[in-house]
Amino acid sequence: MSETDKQLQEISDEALKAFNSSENSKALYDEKVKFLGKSGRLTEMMKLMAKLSPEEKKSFGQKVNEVKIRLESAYSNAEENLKRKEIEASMLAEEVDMTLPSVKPPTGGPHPVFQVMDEIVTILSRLGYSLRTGPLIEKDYYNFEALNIPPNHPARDMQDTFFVDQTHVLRTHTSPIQIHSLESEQLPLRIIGTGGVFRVDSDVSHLPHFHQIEGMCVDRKVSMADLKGTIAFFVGEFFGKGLKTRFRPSFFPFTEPSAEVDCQCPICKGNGCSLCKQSGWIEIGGCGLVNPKVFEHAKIKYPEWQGFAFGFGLERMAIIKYGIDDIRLLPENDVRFLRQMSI
Amino acid sequence: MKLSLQWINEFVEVDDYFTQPEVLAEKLTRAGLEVEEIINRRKDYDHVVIGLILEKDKHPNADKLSLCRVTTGEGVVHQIVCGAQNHKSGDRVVVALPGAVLPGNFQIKQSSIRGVESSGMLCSLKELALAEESQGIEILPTDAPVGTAFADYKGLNDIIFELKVTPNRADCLSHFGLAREISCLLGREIKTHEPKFEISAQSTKKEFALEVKSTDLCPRYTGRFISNVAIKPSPDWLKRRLESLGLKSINNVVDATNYVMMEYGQPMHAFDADQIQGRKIIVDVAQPDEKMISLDGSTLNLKTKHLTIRDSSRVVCLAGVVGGQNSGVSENTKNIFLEAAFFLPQVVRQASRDLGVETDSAYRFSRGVDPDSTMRASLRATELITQLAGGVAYGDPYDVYPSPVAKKVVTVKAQNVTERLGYTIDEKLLVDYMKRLGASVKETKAATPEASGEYEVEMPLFRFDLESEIDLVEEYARLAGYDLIPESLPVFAKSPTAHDKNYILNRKTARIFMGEGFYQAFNFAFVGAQEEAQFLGLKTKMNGIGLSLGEDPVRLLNPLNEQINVMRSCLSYGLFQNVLTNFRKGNHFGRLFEIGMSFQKGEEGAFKENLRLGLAAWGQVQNLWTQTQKHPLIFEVKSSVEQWLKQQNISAFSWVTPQDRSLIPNFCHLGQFAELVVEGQKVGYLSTLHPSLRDENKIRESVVLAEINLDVLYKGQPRPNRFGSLSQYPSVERDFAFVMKKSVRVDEVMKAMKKIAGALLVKTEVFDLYEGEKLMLGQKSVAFRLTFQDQNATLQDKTISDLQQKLVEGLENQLGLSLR
Repeated sequence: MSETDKQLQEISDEALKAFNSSENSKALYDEKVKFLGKSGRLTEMMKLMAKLSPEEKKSFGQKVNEVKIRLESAYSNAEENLKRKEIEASMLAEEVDMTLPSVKPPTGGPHPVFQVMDEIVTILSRLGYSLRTGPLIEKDYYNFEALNIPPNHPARDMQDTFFVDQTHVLRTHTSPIQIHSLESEQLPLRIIGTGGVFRVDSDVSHLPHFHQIEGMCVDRKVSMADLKGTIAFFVGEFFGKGLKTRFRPSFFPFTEPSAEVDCQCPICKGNGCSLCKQSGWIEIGGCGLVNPKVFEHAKIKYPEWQGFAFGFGLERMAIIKYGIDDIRLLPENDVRFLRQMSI
Repeated sequence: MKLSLQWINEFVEVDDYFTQPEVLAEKLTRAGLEVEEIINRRKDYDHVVIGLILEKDKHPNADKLSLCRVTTGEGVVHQIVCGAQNHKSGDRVVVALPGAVLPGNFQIKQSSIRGVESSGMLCSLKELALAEESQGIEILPTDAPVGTAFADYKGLNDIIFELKVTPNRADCLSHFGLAREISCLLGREIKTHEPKFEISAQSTKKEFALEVKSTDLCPRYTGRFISNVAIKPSPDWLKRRLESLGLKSINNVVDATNYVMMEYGQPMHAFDADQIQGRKIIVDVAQPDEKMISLDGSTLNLKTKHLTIRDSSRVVCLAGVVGGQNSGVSENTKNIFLEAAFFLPQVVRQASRDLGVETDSAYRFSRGVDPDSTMRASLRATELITQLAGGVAYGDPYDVYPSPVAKKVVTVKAQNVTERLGYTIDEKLLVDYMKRLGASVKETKAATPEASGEYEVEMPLFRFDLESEIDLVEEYARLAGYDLIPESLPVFAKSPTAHDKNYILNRKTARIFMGEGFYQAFNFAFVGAQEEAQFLGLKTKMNGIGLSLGEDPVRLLNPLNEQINVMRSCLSYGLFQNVLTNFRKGNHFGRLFEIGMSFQKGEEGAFKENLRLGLAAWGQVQNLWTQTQKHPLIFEVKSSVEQWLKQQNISAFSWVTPQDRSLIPNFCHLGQFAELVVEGQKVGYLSTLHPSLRDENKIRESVVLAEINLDVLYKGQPRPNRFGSLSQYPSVERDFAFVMKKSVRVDEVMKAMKKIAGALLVKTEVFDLYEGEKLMLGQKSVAFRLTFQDQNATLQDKTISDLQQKLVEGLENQLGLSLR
C-alpha cells in the first residue's frame, strides 16, 4: 500500500470515528468541516494530485472520491441519528404525568326518560310507525269521550284527572293523540304517540307528571296475533332477545279485547328476583284491539278498518331498564344522577 | 276488594284450593281478575292446637309459674311452663307448639324456663290476636276436640283474596258474583240458596206507602216492612265475616244488609220505619237548595239532579249513596222498611262525586248492579234479619219495575272471532263458553254453508258489559287463555309518513347541547303561581324578550297542593330551582338543558302551548391544576348557544342589551344580560343570575340562565346546507389593536369591519381585551386578528395595505376608534 493510500485510509477511519462519536449536530458539523470542508483533510489530499502522473491521477482520484462518498454518507447517517435523538430528548423533556386529571369539560347526556323514548321511537320506526304529538291541555272530548269514556263512567276513576276548566283537562294518557290522527290522517296508518301525561297522584311510585308512549296500527285486517307479534318484537329489541312476552286479560275502555303485557324479567331472565318479586315476569304496559266505539267517534267504518294499540309508561321502562330504585329521582335533575345515567 | 274463599265455597265447590290458593288466584288473574294478594289467615295459627291439661304442678324454681302436662292427642304429651293462674287440670286450652308463629311474629320455640324444659305455650285470646285484652289463658268449652287445629275449630282457616276488579266487571263485586265467574272458569256447578223465612199475613203495601216518581233514574224499587225487630250486636260468625273483609260491624240489622251486599253485590238500605213521616216513601230528585245530614253526621248540599229517597216532608236517603241520619237504624228501632233497588249508575256516580261521599254502595251502583238481583237480595236480607233480630216479615212486598230491563242479544260469527284473534277457534267451545257465561245461544239458520257459524247470544243481565260481537271475542280469548294467541308481524303496505317535525328538531337540539356538556332535565309542567310570578317579576319584561306571558297563568281546578297550582309560564323558574337543589346536594358545577312546553291562556277559552328551550349553568369547569383562565361563565353558555344556532344554519343573530336597563327581567343581572335576536326577531334571553338571588340562596358560584322560544326559532327548519367552494389561494392575517369608548360594542366594530373590507375579510377574531391604567378612563383596547383571503387569486401586498388603511380610517370616522 502506497503512502497516500495509507493516509487516505487514516483520514477515512478517523473521520468515521469522529462522525459517530459526535454528541450533537453542531459538533458533528464541525467534524465534517474538519474532513470535508474547503481546507479539510480530504480536500487537502486532493491537492496532492497535481504531483502525480496521469495514470496515478486517475486511480488516486477514484480512491479519494470513494472515500468522500463514504464519508458524506456516513455524515448524513450520523446527522439523522443525532436529529432523531435530539427530538426524542426534547419529547422526553415535555413528559407529562398521564394520570393528571383530564381538562376538557365533561360532555352532557340525555335524561333517562327521553333516552328510553328515543330508543322506543327508533325501534318502532323500523316497523313503519311515525311519531305524533298532541296538546298537554286537552279537551275532555279527546281525553275521554272519544276514547269511549263517557261522563260519569266508572272508567274515569281509573285515571285521577287534573281539571283546567269545565271542558279541559291535563291529558291523563297519550291516547288522545290516536284520535287526532284518526281524524286527520289517511288510512292505513301506523303512529307513535308520546309525551307528558298527568294524574292526581304523588307517592313513592307515582309522579303527577310522567310520560307515556303508545303505538297504533290501523289497517284492513288486524288481529290480536299481529299485536302480540309486534309487542314481542319490541320487547326483544328493547329489553333483549329471547325474553318471552305474555298477555293477561284486562280492561281499557278504548280497546277490546284488552290485555296487560308482561315480559320475562330482563334482570333475572325469568328466574325470579327482587325486581319481578320472584315471579319472573314484569308488567310493562297495556294493549288491545281498537274498540269499534273509538272508530265510531272518529267516523271510521268498522270492520272495514281495524286496529290495535299498545302503550307503555316511559318512567317505568327506564326504571326497569336501568334499575333505578326511586322514581322521584327522575324529576329532581341532580347532576350526579344524570351523569350516572349518561352512557 | 276482599273476598273470602270460605264464603265463595258456599256457592261453588273450591275446597280443593284451600291448600293451594295460589293456583286458583293464578287462574283468576289469567282470566282478567287480578288477585293482588292472598291473605292466608290459617298461617297465623299453624301449630296451634287444642290441648287438655292432664296435670298442673308448681314450677320447682318459681312460685308464680306453673308446670303443666298437656296432651294434644292420643299418646302425645307436652311439658309446658305457664305464667297464668286461671287454669286447672282437666281444662281444655289453646296450645301453641314449637314452630308456631303467633300474630305479631311471636315465634314459639322449645325452651328452658328457670331450669325446666317447656315445649310450647298456653295462649290467651290477646296472644292469638282475637281480643284487645284478656285475663289469663283461654279456657275452651269441655266439648272442644283435643288435638284439632285451633283454626279449624274456630273457623279461622279462611283465605282472603284481594282482588283488583276492572270497571267493566261489576258482576264480580260480590261473593256470589265471583263464585259464578269461578264456576264458569272451572266448569263447576253454581249452588244457589233459597231464602226461607216465615211471611206474615200482614201486607207491606197496606202498612206503608211507596211512590217511585223518577222511574227513569230508578228503574226498579223493592221494599218490605218488618216489624218488631230487636236491634243488638251481631253474632261472632257475622262479625268475623264482615271484619275479615274490612267492614265494621254495627248492629244485627245493618250488618245483615251489608252481608247481603257482599254476598250478592246488591247494596241495600234499612230505614227506621217509625222515623218515616207520613209512613210513605217517595223516590224523587232533590228539591232546590235541599240539605241532608248523612249517617256519619256531615251535611250534604243536594242539587236537583241528585236522586233522593224522601218521606212526606224531607230527604231520608241519598239514593244509592248514603242514608240520612234522620231515619237510620238505631238501637231503639222497632220497625224497619227494607229497600233493595236498582238506580242508574251515572246518577249515583254523579251524586257521589259531586258531594264527595264514597261508600261501598255508591261504588257498586256506579259500576252497575244486576237489576235481576234486587228481589233475591231482599229475600235473603229478610231471611237474615228475621234470624238475627227476630221480627215479623210482612208479606206483599213492593216491586216497582214498570219497564223491565231487556236482555241484549248479540250476533257472533265464529269466523270473525278467528280473524280478530289471529288463530282458528273451536266453534263448539265458543258455544260452550257462551252458555257457561249464562247466555242462551241460538244458531242462525244459514242460507249457504259458507254463512254458517253465526249465533244469536242472549246475554244475562248481570253481564251488561257484553253488548257487541267484539266483547264476545274477548270472552272467548279470555276463557280459552290469552296464551293461545300466536305471534305474527303484520305487513304494512304503505310508505311510512314522516315523524313529527319538532321531535326531530328537538332531538338535534338535545344532541348539540349534550355535546356542549349539558345534561337533559325534566321538570313538572306545573309550578306555584306565587313563586313563579315573584321570580319573573313584571310580565311586560318577559313579553319584551320574546317569551310572552299571559295575563294570568293557567290554573288547575284541583291542584295536588298550592306549590304546584298553575301550569308554568316559563322554563327558567324550574331550572333555577334545579340549581338550588343541586347546590344543596353539594354539586357546585353543572349544566342543564330542558326542552318543554310553557302554557298560557289563548283566545276564547283555548290554551296556548309554547315550546321552549331552557338552559342553566353554574360553576367553572373543574380542572384546577391547569389554572384555566377565568372568563365570565356567560360566555361559555353563549358559545354553546351559538354552536347550536350555527348547526341550524342560522348566522344572522345578535345579542342585544337594551339601552333601558329597567326592561331587564327581575331575576337577571343588569350588566350581564342580552336578548337573542335572530333574523330581526326576539327569541329569548341569556343572562347571569341576579346577584341577590344568588346570595339569598347561598350560592357561591356564578349562575347563568337562558330561555329561547323554539316555536319561533324552528320556523323554516331544517334549513338546507349547501356546499360553498373552498378557496385554493393563501390567506393573510393582520393584527390590530384599537382603543375605543367602553360603550362601543365589539360586534358593532366587527360589523363595521365587514362592511368596509367586504368579501376579502373572511374571519374576524378578538384576541385581547384591555381596560386599565394605561388607558384613559372610560376606554378599552380591543385587539383583533383579521384574516383576508381571495376566492380567485393570491392577495397582493398592495391590496392588503390599501384595505388596512381603509379599515383604520373607516373605523375612526364611523366609531371613533384609534389604532393603539
